[in-house]
Amino acid sequence: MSDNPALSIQNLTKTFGKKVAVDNVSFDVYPGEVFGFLGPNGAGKTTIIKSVMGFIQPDKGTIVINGHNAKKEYEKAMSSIGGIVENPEMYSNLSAYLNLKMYAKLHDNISKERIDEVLELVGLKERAKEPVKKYSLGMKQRIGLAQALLHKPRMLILDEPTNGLDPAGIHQLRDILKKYAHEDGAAVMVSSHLLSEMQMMCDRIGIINHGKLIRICSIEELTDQSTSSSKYRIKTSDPKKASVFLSETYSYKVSNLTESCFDIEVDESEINECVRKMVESGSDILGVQKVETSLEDAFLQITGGGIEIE
Amino acid sequence: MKLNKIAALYSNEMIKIFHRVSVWIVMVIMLSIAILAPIAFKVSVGDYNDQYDDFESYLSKEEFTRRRDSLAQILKDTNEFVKHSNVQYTTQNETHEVFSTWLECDEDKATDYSSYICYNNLISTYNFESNRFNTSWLTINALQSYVLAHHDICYLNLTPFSERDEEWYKMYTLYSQAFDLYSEALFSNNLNAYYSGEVLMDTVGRSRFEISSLQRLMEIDPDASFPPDQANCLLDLLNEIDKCEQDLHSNLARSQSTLPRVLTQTEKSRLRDRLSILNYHFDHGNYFTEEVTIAHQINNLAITFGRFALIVLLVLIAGTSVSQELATGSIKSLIIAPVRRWKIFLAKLLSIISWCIVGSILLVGASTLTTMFLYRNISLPEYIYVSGGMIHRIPYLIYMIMSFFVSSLSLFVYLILAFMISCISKNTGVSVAVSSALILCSNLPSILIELGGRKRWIDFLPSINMDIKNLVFPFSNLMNGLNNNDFFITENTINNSLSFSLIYVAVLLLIMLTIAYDAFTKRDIQ
Repeated sequence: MSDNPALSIQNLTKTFGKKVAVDNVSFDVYPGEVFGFLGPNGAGKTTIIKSVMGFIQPDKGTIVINGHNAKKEYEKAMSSIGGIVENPEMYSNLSAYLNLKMYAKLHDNISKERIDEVLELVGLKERAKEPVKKYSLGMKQRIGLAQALLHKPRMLILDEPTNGLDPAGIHQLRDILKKYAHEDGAAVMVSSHLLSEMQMMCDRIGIINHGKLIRICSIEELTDQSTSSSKYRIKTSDPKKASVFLSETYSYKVSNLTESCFDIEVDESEINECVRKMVESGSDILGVQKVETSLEDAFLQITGGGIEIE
Repeated sequence: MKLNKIAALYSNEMIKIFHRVSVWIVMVIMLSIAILAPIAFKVSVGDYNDQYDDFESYLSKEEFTRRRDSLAQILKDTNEFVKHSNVQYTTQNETHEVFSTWLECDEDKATDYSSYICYNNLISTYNFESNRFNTSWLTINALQSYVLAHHDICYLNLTPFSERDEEWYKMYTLYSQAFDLYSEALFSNNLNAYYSGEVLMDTVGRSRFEISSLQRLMEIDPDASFPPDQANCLLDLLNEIDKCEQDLHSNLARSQSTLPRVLTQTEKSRLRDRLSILNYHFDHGNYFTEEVTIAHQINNLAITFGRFALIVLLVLIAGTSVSQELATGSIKSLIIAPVRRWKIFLAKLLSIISWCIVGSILLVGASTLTTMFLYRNISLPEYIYVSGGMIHRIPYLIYMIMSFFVSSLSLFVYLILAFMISCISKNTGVSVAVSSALILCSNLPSILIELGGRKRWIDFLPSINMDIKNLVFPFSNLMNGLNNNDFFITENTINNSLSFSLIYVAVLLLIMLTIAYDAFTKRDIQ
């Protein structure tokens, strides 16, 4: 990671009527990383992306792209950005090639060869002369990616890029994006509501909910969190008595109380202590089992729900 | 650098429009109308020469024989009502004994009898082969004068012998002399005899020509070699010149539908220009012949029809320019590109304007060239105007295109309106519907004037200020020929001056473009 961010957002705020869609969001994305933008539907991901790409005018805040202020040096700033917002929409009666050619004209110095190159990259070279309306959603997604990569942007932004792609396509997209960030040194920002997808693609993740950026962390941090805080399932002859004892005398967090067992949240280092206390209080311990917390659970803890799990 | 981007956006807009099937369909319809309509109109009007061929067969020996025979059937025995006698007439103490005829019948029968005699004379004496009626204005006019003079004599002969007095005899002598002169003119092709006959008949107000007009016609065409229509057109032109001169001289505006009033200063100068133009036409032998007028009107009509298709085409392009991109989401690939929105806006506006220009030229060009080809044996009228005391001419095709642009100002304004609505509304239908409705309402002011008379506030309605063709091309009416061309009615449909109207329209356009620009550049793309 270099010191100068490819994208720097400061205090971005956007309201639609009374609804605050984005609330004072600040973050940076650096060259060479894939930055994941994760949040439930309606969290404000797309609004932030649209603000960056010039679709909507933010009420407050500054956006700097590749060192250029998006408001003052719009064209310079925008020339370092490529991307897809929601679904890629092209002129459906024109061929993919013509669509790309028209888009290329609006940038400086894009050669014909470059158009062929990106078409090859996304695997659409053979069908490039067909009108886009004959394309499947997956193909449209690919041609959108081709358009986004056409001018080799230093900042690539993809909103829900895996929509409509088959598993092989998703795999291919992942490889393209990783290579583009890690080998070509560009910054890539991807938004999704699918955590599993982020896990496989991203270096860092920004978690957004209700318009607020809740947390930015690396994938490792998120995974670590899921392993450090632990849950244990304890089987006893009288779970009710034991759980009341633990929660009232020692303030342990108890959940999932059933006829035979209950869960207890306790740090790994304290579990032996906890078991001893129960034995001393007269409970029969029939079994102690660690309950694994997944990334999803960690995420749900952070956002308070609303994430779709695949 | 900046212009490059606008040029790229502009060419992209054109590519998008070019790839729309609907645009091509409407375009083909428009061009078909422009090319086929003049042909259809010409066929329905009929060939002008055909008309004269009909005229020829109508005035043939066979036809005259047929008509004489049918009259003979009606009249049966003429001896029953035609009485002859030698009658004495006394004038100024002189007594003449004249072999006279008394028709003891009613006027209708007298007319039939007169026609019968005329046909008989023509059939037996007139050389139909060498002296066709359609070749010269003299023969056809002489024929008619000849027949009418004979009718007049027969009507006099309805008076019984006993009631014939000195006055009767004077009239009889006059008509007889005129009849003889007309016979001479008709049978010997004698222009001077015809002139004398007309002078004689003019004393009793029964001449076909104004004597002064006839004199001028004879000056220009001493051999009476012009075909009848050309001579008529020439006379119309001469009369129009006379009227102009008289109006200027008397300083009074006279027209059939209004009371005479004093000329205004502008009317006066325009009338003076009109006079120069008429004289120019006269000097150059352009006599507003009917065929030229018909060709011009056919072309105009075809353009009027084709204009509907053009309106559809342009509303389709302007009305969907932004709204369709918003509706389909394709605007995203424009917004993502590193170009400021005002450039996108400008490129779209320019593409609409260029389609407006190209479409108009295609329509008017196709129709005018077709008409010019159909009437290739005559030259279509140039637009002639006076500027700085000099006569200027604009070739027909160029004038047609220019005048189409001027008269399509309203169309352009409605297109910008369609574009504006297209920028505001995501709904393509709304922008197309509203602008089409307004175009259809553009006749509203003239309807209001007809219903409630001329009110001052009507002058401030948009559509009346967009109708500036008469202000820009004040003499365009002359191209429709001299008939139905009353200077004092047609020239004054607009009370506003050209500069007022232009400023009005400019302000209107500015407001609409500002709204459109504001809506387009500040809009959040969802």
